Amino acid sequence: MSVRRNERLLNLVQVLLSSQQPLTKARLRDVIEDYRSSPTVVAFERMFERDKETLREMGIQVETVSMDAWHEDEFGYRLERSRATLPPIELSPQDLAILNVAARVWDRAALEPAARTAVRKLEALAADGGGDVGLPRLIEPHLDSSDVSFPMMVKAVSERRLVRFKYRKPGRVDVEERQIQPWRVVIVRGHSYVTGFDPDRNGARVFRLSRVIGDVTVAKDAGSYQIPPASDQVDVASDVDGRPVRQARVRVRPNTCHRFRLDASEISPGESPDGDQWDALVVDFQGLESFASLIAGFGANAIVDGPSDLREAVVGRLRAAAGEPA
Amino acid sequence: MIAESEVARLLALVPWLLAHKDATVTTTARHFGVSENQIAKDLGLLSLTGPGWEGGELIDIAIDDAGYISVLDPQALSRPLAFTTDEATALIVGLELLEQLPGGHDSAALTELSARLQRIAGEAAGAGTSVSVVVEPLGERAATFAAINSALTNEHRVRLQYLSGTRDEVTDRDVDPMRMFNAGGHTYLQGWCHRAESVRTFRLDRVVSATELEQPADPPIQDSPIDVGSGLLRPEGEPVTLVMASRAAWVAEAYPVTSVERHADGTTRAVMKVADRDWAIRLILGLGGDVTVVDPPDLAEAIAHRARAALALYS
Repeated sequence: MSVRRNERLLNLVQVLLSSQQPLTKARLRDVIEDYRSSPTVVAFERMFERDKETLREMGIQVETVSMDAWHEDEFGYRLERSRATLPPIELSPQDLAILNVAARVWDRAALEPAARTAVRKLEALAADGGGDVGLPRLIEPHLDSSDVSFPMMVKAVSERRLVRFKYRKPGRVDVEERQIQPWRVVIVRGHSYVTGFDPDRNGARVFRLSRVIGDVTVAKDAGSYQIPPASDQVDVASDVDGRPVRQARVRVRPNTCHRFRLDASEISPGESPDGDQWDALVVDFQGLESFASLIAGFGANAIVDGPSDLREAVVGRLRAAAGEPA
Repeated sequence: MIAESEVARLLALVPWLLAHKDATVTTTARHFGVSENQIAKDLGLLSLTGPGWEGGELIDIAIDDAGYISVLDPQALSRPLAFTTDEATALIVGLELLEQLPGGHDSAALTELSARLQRIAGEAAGAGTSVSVVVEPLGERAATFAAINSALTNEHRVRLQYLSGTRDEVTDRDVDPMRMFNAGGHTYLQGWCHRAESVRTFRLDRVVSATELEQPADPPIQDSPIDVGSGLLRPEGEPVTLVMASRAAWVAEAYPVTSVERHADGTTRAVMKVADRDWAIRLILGLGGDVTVVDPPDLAEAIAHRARAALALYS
């Protein structure tokens, strides 16, 4: 954005904030130099509309109100101080320190700029301006939601607007056109999802944001649907975790397969296929396919004794990798 | 860092400076994450603006010889502007995440702070409920976590038995803890590793055991950027050309690859720069026939060889 445009926007905000009454376009054109010097009324109005839109995108809502009875068709514009500025809040240095940590959650993620601006606004409200307090050294959390569609989805949820986007299902080449009335953005173990109602399929759906391709189109109409209470929504976490936990019996060669040893609930001496002292492990698993891949990857260092579907899945992978018929 | 909009920074500057009477160009630049030169330009620009009517009503900012900034007249910008949806969401979700993490934060205080924020956020706070976070519970890693957390707090060295992310091996490592963080659903310890003589990042779920030692921790580096990259794939790694069936196309999404070609039959062909062959063999062998190595041929043969050796155990 050009310096000149920044200057104009700063002036516009201050003019609107400092006026007791709404201001007409004509008045704004009088006061703000760029508006005054624009060659035609049309050019001025276009510039003014663009500026209002820029401010709106930044969360600064210029209100349009109709002026008094004498000017029925005339509108006034205003930023009411009580609504446009942050009300006072009591914040201790400790509170500010915690809020700083909370904001840093977004470092390198979707809402990083917003988080930083928010903290600065609060620092401006705190009586003594903050300063360093010694917080205990705690875990520093980060959300890796760098998905470009993240801020757009959050906005769409909060304004209850239908969204359209292109989506690629895992393992698919083609891209689908999808639409959804978004209910919630959920971050589960570092992955972001949007849940909502899919009018085309007449049911609740979950989409992973990293599979959304390109731009998200947000419908014009706000508040066009109701968001059901949280208890009636899709539970993404249990959707991901809901598969039953099963137990695998795996024998492993000494000093190998440390991944399974780490996760094993039981370790005992196992029958040896080759004279070395193998260990027999009991390991919990959820997804059969991914667990079979993990075991097969260890090649001749691991033998699955059960369950039989896991054993077959592993043998199947080994056969395919050896180039043998299944 | 993702840049915030210039106008957002300009609008935030004046109220922030009013609350920080001891701010200098240097401290302000550091705080806002821009250069000193940029702050000087910002202040210059702000001084040209005001509520307008015919001169005289401009923001007045002075910088003294020592670099201290004073706002003599803030005009209409004395108060920070209301929260945007994104701003309210960022803080409310951030607090929610803190609340879920183990170790230390007073949950009631966080809830109360979040409620206070939501009150001043007004309409924008509605957004706070549009995002929710689920963090992996520590479960059986609680003892590991407790030992590392205690070492970090007491500034003690910690001895780890650590399972390599690349190789099937467990090594003993004495680490001077620097920080613990949570990213991508995993909890990590960053510290000075005496074995590697360098800063290393350890994933908590790969720590076999952790013992806090008596020795004080003394990492030669205090601050190092967070890097959770696996180090498995490096630009200088060996190029491996793979063809993936559609079921295994996620491989090309999960790991950095170059020259990805998606074919009409659903297969994907891509080149992966592999830093560790053993890791690559385990990955590809595990995916069975869904991934085949086109090049180099000796890697393809190594995988087939291991597959045959494993099959012999089942026959």
